[in-house]
Amino acid sequence: MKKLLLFLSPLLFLSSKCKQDCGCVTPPEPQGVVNLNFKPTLDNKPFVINQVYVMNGKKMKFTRLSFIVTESCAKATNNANSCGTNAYMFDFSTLDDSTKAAQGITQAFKQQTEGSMTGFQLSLGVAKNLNASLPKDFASSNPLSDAGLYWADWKSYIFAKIEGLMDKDGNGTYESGITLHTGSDEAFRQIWFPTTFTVDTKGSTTLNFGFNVNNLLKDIDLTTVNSSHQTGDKPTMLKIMDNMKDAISLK
Amino acid sequence: MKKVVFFSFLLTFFVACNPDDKGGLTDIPYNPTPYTLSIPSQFPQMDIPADNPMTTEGVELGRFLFYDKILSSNGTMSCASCHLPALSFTDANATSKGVDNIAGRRSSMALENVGFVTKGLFWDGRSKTLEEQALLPVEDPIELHNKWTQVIEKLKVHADYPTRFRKAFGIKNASEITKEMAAKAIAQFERTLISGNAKVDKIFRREAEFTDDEYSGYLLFFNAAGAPDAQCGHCHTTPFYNSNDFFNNGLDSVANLADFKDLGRGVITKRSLDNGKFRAPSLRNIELTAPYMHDGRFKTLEEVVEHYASGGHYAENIDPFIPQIKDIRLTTKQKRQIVLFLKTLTDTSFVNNPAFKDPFN
Repeated sequence: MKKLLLFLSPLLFLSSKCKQDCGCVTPPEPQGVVNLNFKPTLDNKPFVINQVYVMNGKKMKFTRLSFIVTESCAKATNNANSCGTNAYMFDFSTLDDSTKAAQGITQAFKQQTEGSMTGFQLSLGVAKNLNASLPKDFASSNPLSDAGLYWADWKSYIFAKIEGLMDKDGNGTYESGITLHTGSDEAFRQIWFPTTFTVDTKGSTTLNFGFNVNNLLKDIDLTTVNSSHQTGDKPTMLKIMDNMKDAISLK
Repeated sequence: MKKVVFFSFLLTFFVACNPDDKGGLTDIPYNPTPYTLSIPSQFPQMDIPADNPMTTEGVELGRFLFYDKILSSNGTMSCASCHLPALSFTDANATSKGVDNIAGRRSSMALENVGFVTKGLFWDGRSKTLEEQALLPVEDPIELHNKWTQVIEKLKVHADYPTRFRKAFGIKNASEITKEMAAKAIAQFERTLISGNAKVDKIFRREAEFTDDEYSGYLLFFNAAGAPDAQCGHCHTTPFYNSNDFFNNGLDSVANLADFKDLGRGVITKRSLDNGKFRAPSLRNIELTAPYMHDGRFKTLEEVVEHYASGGHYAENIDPFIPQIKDIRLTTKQKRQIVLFLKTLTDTSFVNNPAFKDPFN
């Protein structure tokens, strides 16, 4: 019996030690939640999908306006960054009437800690380390698993999509496509918003952002620049991402 | 002693004749074998519902049910009647006919890699899961036109199925067989229908090479290396050459969004902007799945490419990529190259896989 115990004890110890080292039992991470709300506007009114707008003298309708947010962080009062590791897709495509558009799109942003914060860093696009991944690397619940968000020729996720139709000839039909997409590591942008807010586990706080579509498309003539998928379109992509920084404001 | 023997006999008789024990299956071992999917390295992991883990016994039961005409009202059709393995589980018809010879509205969808679809099944995405989907064709009046209650009654008294349900789901009695179990088994079988060994896959594994024309078609398809953007790759992305999304790809010109002959996705979402939109299906094995589109209107891949090259027909919700295709004015040669590239998506090892074939033949 003694021999058996002597033999088994080290095995038992090794087995329990291995469990610790392997991290097989992961304690739940404390998570704070802050809601991020984006209300898009165009011409100082709620931006409505499929509504007729006049830009550069041409009538057009937008069918999709979406962007990805990854690795954003809140700064705590002790200056420590509390970051979220999830990716979030903000897609205005469902805002097809003025009521929905006025409400905007809200996502619950999960970060590492709770408490008082002094600012929020919004990251537009897919951060470099994540952008080196492929959709197959993510669970289907993650927006980055969507193969439709990946453009292989760029070796990058598509950070933002602006799609629509234009009545280029003025004949009443919107038969000219607008397909502006952005991506690549160079296009990743971050905005710092100093603001005080509290993060708790219930998501009691909402940060309200404005999203000015006029600013997003500033100095981009959609009548001549209506797609951005080629390598040569990089200046347009970077311009859109720079514009996006100016388009977003904390209310 | 004689009395004891007599009562023992009587007891055995009563137990054996107890109506509650009819269909008892507990003598059959229930030791389901976990089934590990063989997923190609270029594919994501598949979501398996926690309440329907894959087992060898479940998959095999699902295969039997998939091919069994017992599911139809008159015993003439099974799932496989419209989903033939040789055609990547389509049926070569523009629209499929059911047991009453009534033509359905839509073309039979290919089932390769169906387990990876995460945003609704069918052309309009009306079923969220394979388990939900598998329940519908049995009672659809233009498909198998049966009642699940009748199917289940037949399965309960069948010579073989109670044992198979016992081995797959651990039921103790044939009376416990349910339509949900049948659907789970069919879903398990469908999740095994993985196709990832086409020529294009071999090329990316450096086991084969494109011909010059196939490569040119690939570059056009994906707007790669500075090639003109034929726009295909925006809705048909790797690794499945599909999108988990719904589009109006310019098939019909309508003055009003309510005028589409088939409202498609709009019926499900109740949004008029979704009228006339359908799933962008996988193009894997597309060479084998003619005719094409949700209503099978195009007989050949050449017709399909010609449709897109024309910029499609205008409707208020046409996808913006479609009208842009005509702007690049694809040449006859380029169109042919795109078709040649599409044929590199054919996976003969999938359509000939014995594990997917009819177990009754």
